[in-house]
Amino acid sequence: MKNGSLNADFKYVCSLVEPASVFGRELLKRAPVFRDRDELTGELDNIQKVRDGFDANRRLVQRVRDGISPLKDVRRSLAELDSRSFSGLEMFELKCFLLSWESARRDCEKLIKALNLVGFELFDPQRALEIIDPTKQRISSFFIGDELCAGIDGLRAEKRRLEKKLKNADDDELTKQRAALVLSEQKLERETLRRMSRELAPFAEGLVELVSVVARLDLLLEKGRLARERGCGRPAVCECGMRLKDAVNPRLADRIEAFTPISVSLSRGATVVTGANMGGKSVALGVAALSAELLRRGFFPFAAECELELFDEVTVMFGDMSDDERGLSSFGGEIAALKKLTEDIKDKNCFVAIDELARGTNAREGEAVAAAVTGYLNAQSCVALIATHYDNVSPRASAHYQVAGLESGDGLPDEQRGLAERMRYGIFPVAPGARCPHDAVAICRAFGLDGGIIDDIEKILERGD
Amino acid sequence: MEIASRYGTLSITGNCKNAGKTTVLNYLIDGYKRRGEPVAVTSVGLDGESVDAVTYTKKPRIYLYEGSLFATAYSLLARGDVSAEILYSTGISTPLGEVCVFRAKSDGYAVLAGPSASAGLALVCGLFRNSGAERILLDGAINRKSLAAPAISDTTVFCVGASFSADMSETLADASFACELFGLPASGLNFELYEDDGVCFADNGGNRLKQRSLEAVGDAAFVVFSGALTDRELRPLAVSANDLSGVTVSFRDASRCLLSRSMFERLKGRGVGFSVLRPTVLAAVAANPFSAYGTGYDSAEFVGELRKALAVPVFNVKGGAR
Repeated sequence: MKNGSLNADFKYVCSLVEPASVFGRELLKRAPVFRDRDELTGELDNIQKVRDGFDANRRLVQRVRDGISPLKDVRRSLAELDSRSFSGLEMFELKCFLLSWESARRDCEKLIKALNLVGFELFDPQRALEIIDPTKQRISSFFIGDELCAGIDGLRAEKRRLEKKLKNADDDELTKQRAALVLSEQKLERETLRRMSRELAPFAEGLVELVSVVARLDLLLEKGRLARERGCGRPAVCECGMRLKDAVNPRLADRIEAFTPISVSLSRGATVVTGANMGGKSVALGVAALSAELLRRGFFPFAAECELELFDEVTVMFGDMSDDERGLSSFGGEIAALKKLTEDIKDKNCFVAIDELARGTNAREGEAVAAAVTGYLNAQSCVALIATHYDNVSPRASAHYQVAGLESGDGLPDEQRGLAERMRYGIFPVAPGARCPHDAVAICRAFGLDGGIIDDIEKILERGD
Repeated sequence: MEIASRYGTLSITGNCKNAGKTTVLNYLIDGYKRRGEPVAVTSVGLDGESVDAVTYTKKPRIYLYEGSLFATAYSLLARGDVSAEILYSTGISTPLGEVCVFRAKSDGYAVLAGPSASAGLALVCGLFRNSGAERILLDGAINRKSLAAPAISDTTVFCVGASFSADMSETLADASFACELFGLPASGLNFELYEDDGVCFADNGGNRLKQRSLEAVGDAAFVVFSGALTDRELRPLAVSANDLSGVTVSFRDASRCLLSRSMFERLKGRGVGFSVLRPTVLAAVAANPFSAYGTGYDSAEFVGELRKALAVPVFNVKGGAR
């Protein structure tokens, strides 16, 4: 399915970061794409600073996380503050938010200074708190007393006096008096909430902005931590193409012990990867696509070193492209996606990864389709990486990589050496037009396929029919 | 009051509507007030029934004293007249708004609609304790079948009201049945082993046996229900031709037992035993001889009959509420 594997890879990376606040988690879920190169560079600079300063500031980072994690989302109420007044509950929530922020802010400020992070303006809650908590009690409960509404305490004292009297004797007149006091009390409370809301309204915008600052800082700390833990090098944002050194796909690398890192250099136009089945062509495509996607979303790619351009779009065409709903076979689905791709690359700067192009049709026509599409993409301004088994595709590309493939099993029966043991993963540049390694028969043998079938395959190949 | 004060968290349940739960609740609040013990109160939402604002409006008002804690949906605060300080918002939403924990800053009435799920109740009880409450009162749902589960409350006061039936013998029989369910012994089984299935079977040592039908109960010592127990579920057992003596039907707690009295008696007659994961501690039965339908009983006779039939303290709260 189109982009399915890329989405799964990116989701896996997201699962490795755990923002502490509800806002950071929300931002991670959206993972907005960076369109502006300067903005992206700023984010990468900040990630680098967190990565490098993480160990020295570990405790401060934890305090920041502890400080921002209790912040509740008050944005919905804030958005309506200019058109209506807050309820007591909303005022309580805002007070809790401001009090939590007041104590978290100091640590955030310290950390931003210690790491020299750029682009974080921290809202000062003092003036807003003065409205909700004028006597500076700083208690996380909310009650309208005399400090917020002059005279309300006296009214309540009168109510209490009547209650005491009522306890001893039921008296209609006293009950009526008490009911009137309750109404006055509720009216005063409503008026106080209206006044406070009016006074707080000018702070609404700053508070909403604060939420986005907290979200960015929270996610940034996690991106930096991840980059540190996984040894990610700071990506250089270049004008053209992609150069990866020792890049991995963490979703696979975390499962497979001996994952071979990929190093590849791609320029504009088409690059073809050929080689044995199970040799890691698709893995290489996936690593390149994920790296491009991670950069777009402001993460460090999982590579020791890398240089990438900021693509508008990352498109992958992997595996079965059939679409039951649209009645498309795998080949039909692939061609429909290709058609869309040719339109997209006209006005967007795209990274394209296509695995085994045109494999779902007969070999002769398939090879022609693959070669023609490769030639077309090679002439466009996109960066395309295409894996294929066909021999006559790479001459149409500007660069050609090959997977190392199987080592010969000299002197040993094939069954005694595990396939994985004999497979040399990783890709290496070769000249365009270099012949593809043909390891299909060796792999059939390594899997222990019926000997009769293998003999027959070899006979057919010898005859050339 | 002496009985109630032995327990930290006390739930109040009733045999029917107008069983007198609020009367008991207000009686207990008054009692704790006299003892100078701060109290926290909430009500269990209408478990399993369609919850609407109309139903909530019928909820009786509770009289609270200054300093008490209470939890209710925020919008219901305006329906009472107690001055209240907001201590916590719980994130538990109800059709009437989020459940909040308040401290009463005056005496006065409050309308309570707290969380209906046990997780929400446990959360609220935790917040009550954080705020210093040692005595927690849970106003249970309408009938005993959805009482505050023993997972949350330490003990229960069961209100038996004349509104249940015009025929006192009916009310007495139902109350005996309810008290029998409350009094079921602990099974000693580890329910985590049986969590995934509605019904499963275990041998004497509690080891899970291969799933078999209820008709062929065979050598199983326990039939374990992880969910609710209904007549329909147990009918195959009741009609089975097997010898059922020595078989124990086990379930979580009395609140999960929706069996009719006749089915319960029928199975008992065939030698079936019953046990629960968590037994309910029944502190007392509160008798309410007044019926909302005008068919009340003689107070002394009713209390006397209940005392004869039940092995727990029976009391009559007369006009305890304001």
